[in-house]
Amino acid sequence: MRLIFLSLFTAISTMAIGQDATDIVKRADEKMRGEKSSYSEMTMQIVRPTWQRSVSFKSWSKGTELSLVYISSPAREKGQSFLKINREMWSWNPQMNRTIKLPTSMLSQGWMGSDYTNDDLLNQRSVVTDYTHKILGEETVENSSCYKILLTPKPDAPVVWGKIVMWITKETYLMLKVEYYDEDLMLVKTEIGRELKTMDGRLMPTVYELLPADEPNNKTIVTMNLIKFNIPINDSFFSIQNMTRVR
Amino acid sequence: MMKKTVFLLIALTAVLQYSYAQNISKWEFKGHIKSLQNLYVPYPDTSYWFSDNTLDNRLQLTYYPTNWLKFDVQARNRFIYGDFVKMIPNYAEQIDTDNSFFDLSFLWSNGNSYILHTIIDRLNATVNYGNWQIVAGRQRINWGIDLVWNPNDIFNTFSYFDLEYPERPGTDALSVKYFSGIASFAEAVYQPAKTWDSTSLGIVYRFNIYEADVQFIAGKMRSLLTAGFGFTKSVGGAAIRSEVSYFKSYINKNTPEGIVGTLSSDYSFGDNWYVQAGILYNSFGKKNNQGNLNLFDTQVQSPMTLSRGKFNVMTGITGQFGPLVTPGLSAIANPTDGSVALIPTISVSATDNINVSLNAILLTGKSTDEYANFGQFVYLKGEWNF
Repeated sequence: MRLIFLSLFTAISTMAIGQDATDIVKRADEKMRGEKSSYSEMTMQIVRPTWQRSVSFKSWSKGTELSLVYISSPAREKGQSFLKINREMWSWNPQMNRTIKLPTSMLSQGWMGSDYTNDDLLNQRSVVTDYTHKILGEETVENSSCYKILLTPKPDAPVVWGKIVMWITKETYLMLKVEYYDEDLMLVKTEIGRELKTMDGRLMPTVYELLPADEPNNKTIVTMNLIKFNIPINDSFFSIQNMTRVR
Repeated sequence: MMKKTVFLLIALTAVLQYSYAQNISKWEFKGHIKSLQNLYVPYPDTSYWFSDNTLDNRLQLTYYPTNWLKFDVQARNRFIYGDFVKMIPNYAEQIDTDNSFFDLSFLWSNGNSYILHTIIDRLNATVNYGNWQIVAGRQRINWGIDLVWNPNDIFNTFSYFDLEYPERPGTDALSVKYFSGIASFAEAVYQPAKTWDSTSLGIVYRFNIYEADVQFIAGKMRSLLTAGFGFTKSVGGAAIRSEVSYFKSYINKNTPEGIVGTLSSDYSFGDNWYVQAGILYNSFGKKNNQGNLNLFDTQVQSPMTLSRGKFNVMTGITGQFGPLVTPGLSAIANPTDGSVALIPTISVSATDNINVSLNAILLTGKSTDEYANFGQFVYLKGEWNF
């Protein structure tokens, strides 16, 4: 046991000294989602100048490839679930007892009408594996000193962004700001992490605001109501059988 | 006896209150109320417009006594009043039909211009044990893999034109399912009936190979033997879907055997615009003078009556004008006679739980065509989900 801790510690210190851009992104990503697995309950609000709508959901994920999302409100969509295994995605509609396989093009569709895409929700781990990473410099975001890192998609990576720029805190590896650019390298949206709190023993932003570049009065706010990291969860949890059972 | 009932009620209330206090309740209750203001403008005599209102209420109660057991009951209540009840002969009888083993259709009251009706379309118990799942009672058996027509859906075939019944009818059956992998299962279904020749049973095996969902089915649909297959795969971002079923009567040697098959594709453009297109081949369809679609009786008895003609084609698009407004347009056509049914819709989200939409079914064909223009049908819908 001590040996494991020791090697883990060594690994962490090596990373800290190396400060390789990929390591920083990986650590920040893992910090948000758990190194192995996570369970979270979130509410997403779509905010426009004259109205707002909200969607709540529960989300289970393991590693980079397995994800299951259950919608808990609004009433009309309640009970629907989405499963992603590698690049395959299914939806479950309890009303008509139907499991359908979704086209992969659906991954870049906005999640329930928000500025978040299905890909953001079900595939975000690809920021580590589908991109190359480069430190552009250091900048201060919300009084925290951050690394500014450029992510460029690898050739043939199945991603929707032309590039991503991230601001990650130097001490605590928190993604405080992320800019997403389209294939023409035009800014599409900016994500900002706020309200740092300790959740399941980790300091992290508990509210994320997503601001579309071309519509300054619009935003989507994601609030983490509950998050648990590294929960014991089998691969078999992510199955079409369980997609019909979770709630 | 009375005391016992009162005690049970108190106990039940206590259980309900207790479980509501928990994060995951043992009870789930949901439903909707829809108000449909229907307008039918007949053709060629357009002088009298028929108007009709339907209040459609759905109640769904689910109880999870343990993590492996679930009870589900759902009722569809409708109050229909107006010209349709006067105009359509035997409308009440037509609505008060239950093709399942048990008659759970209740015509509470009807008169010259109104109908009050309830159908219990789900009433089942589900047992989950390891990789097994057994569902007994009224349920929806959904074997379809395609999105418009489902030749593989042999237990409760559904018409695309029954727009206001997205939950679809249920049927009395026993289903035994074994999940053999993360995306694969085998299922056997027994749908009892009073005679062997009206009994249905079947097996399906669905599995995932090369990122495709593939299924094979075989069974007996009333007095017909059937076998078929279906698949879905994502190719270049688009989903390709297909279902084919073969039918042959084992009673009547003169009844032609034949196949019903579909091929379709759907694709999302990423900005919430989504398109689909498909073709249906139905060897049981007729080449000419096939008879018309009846908008007032959309119940389909089998995949063999999914179309009147031999071929049907379908295309549709749905999109998003901002997050609140969802427009859509779909068209189903019989390419042989050139008749088309157009279904334009526009839906607006008024609050998190209230939607308002305007929908229509517009028909273009001559009187002998599949989508014959006997009039146009438009309706305004308000829906509250709870």
